[in-house]
Amino acid sequence: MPSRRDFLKHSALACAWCASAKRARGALRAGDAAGQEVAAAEDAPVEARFYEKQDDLRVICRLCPRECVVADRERGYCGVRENRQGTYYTLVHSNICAEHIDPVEKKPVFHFQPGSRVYSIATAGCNIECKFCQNWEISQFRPEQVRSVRRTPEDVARIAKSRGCQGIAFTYSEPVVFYEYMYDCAVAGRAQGIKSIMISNGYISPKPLRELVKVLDAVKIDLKAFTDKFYRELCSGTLEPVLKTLEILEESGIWFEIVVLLIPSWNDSMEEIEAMCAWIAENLGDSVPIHFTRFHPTYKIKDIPRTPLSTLENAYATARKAGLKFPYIGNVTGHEGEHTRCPHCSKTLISRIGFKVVRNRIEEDRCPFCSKKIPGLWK
Amino acid sequence: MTRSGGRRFPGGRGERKRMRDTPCNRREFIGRTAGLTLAGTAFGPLASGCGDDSDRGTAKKPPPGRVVRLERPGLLDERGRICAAAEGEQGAAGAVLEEILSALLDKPSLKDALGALFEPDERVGIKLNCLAGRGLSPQPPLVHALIDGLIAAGIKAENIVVFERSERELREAGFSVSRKKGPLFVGNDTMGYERTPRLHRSIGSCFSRIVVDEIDALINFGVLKDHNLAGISAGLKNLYGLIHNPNKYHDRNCNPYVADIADCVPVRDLLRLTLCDGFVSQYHGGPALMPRFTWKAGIFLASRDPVALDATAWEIIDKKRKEKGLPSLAEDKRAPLWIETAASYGLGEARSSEIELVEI
Repeated sequence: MPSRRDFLKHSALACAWCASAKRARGALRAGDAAGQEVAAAEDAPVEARFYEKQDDLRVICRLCPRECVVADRERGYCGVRENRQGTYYTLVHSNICAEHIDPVEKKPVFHFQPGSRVYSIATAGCNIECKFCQNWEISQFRPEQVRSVRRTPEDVARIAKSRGCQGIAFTYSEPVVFYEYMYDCAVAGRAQGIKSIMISNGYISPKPLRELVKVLDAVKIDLKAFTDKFYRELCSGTLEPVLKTLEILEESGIWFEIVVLLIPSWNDSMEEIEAMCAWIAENLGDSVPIHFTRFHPTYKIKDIPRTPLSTLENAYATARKAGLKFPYIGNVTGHEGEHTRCPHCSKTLISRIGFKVVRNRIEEDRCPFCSKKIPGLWK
Repeated sequence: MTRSGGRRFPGGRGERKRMRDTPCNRREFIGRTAGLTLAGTAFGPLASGCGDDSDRGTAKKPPPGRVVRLERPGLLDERGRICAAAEGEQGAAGAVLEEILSALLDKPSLKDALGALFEPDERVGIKLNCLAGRGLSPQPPLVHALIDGLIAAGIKAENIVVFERSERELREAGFSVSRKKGPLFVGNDTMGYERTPRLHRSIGSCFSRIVVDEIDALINFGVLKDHNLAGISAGLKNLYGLIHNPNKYHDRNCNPYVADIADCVPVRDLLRLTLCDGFVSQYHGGPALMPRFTWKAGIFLASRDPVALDATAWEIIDKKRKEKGLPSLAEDKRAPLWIETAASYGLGEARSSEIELVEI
């Protein structure tokens, strides 16, 4: 446990870090002098993968479960893939609208190179629409409606390396919609010894996912809720494909973590959380980290208050009761639920305040107190 | 995270709003108030007794159900473009507009018809549907004739904004982009979108700043065509081009989304007239141009009731599909049921028995 003095010191550091991160984001983000601004993303399209040609110049996109049938000159639901004369193109390959260097804890991914920096990038677009999206100003816009800069996959790998990042994170909006670019960046990154992490809603079809995980190193999935009703009413999606994604990730052996944003009155009943945790324990195993994070009113949901701390703590306890070994509480800076504890001896292994790792006691991949192996990728 | 901020036209509605909201000192306040009082006293009685302009603005409430259908296939050349007539393209297009709008508004001329719809100091937006490029977009001579008519009716050229989603689409349909000198031809991609989404019924969208800040009235100028998801695109479907996220609203054959966008302020307040260029129409394979499914229909539709116009367009498309041995839109599981939804919102008349179809 950090002392009061430590807590205050680290809180101050966390605040200072946040402020500097914001400045860094401003300096690095799309439109900066270092990048060539892309005036019209649609002018340099790359042919999309995972689609089938149909009669009358139509195509069916097979990238995500939505399977949009797209007529000539139209786009899919994501708004970033366009049919041009029967050939389907991605309009966002190499056109990023956000870039930033984050600690990996911000994703949040806690069992993957803790304390490391990741070069985080995004393009416009998303294949679902969460009414509580924090990044709706890019995820719900088309590429030509946001300011973008051109970054080839090789640029991305080079920037990550030159800035001292151990990884590239595909994040902020929905990387599934810039699949081809993400794939190419991951390949380019791997050639440079840079790891790749996808931060995703998990709304992707099995075939492209199975190909993708071969070039990724970690995945974080937002499991929005454990009811189809929630997905349909608040996200314009469905639950089942996301569960399928989690099963495929488990089968593939790639490291992945789960985040559940708890929204009061919508997905915060302990019955639902209990069912979710039981499903995870049974189908994914008890070592998958699950982060219960606090909701803040935003975008189309502004009339629901932020999640009470008691709800997050109850969810944390419910997960433990279900046998999950690594539950966390997120978006509550300084809470004990941010720390990683050994599931065997209960000692604190990694202390965090916000996105800052205060102390990491894990030695190699083991608890220094009881020598039990702690799942994750620690170096 | 950045979003294109877009630009503003000087003197646009947003500019005027800002002027109204500008704080002023006591002297300025008294000056402005006195000016307004004097203006009210001096011009109030005159305005009410004014002869020529007495019916200006009286036509703003759309009478449900009246649609004028003009059919002149003879005006088209072999490429489907309006040419014919001795007076040239513009003259033929002007004659078409004069005929159809005079019939719609019971006015003797195009100038009088448009004068009944718009005040001289208003900024008028014309939303085109240029998605399919040249060949299945509103024909430039018709659009320019409409602009000429508006100017003749007293609207200043600089207060006319012709727009589409992107300037690329305008260019591909045969229009020249003009961002400085009126009439303006611009895209939402240049002008940008409002910063906060409007939530209305099933939609949550940021509207084009042209619609939100720069115009006082809207003319919706679509084309008559099949749409693979919405069933048809004639009038209301073209309003998808006003919002930033149209791709989110194609499920369930666009029902109720088309109606919900039309019902949302500002559209509901701004829309005064719907025109539909069906000189070349497409009965299948839309919304993109597929020449083998087009026909030189020579049709032009006009209405102040957008729902009635779309209901009429649906009948035309279905009739042609039947003639070509294709299933009806309903049989093809893409009936434009959003037309009925729009009617249920009070946006117009969808029942064919109640639509007053004037054929000329």
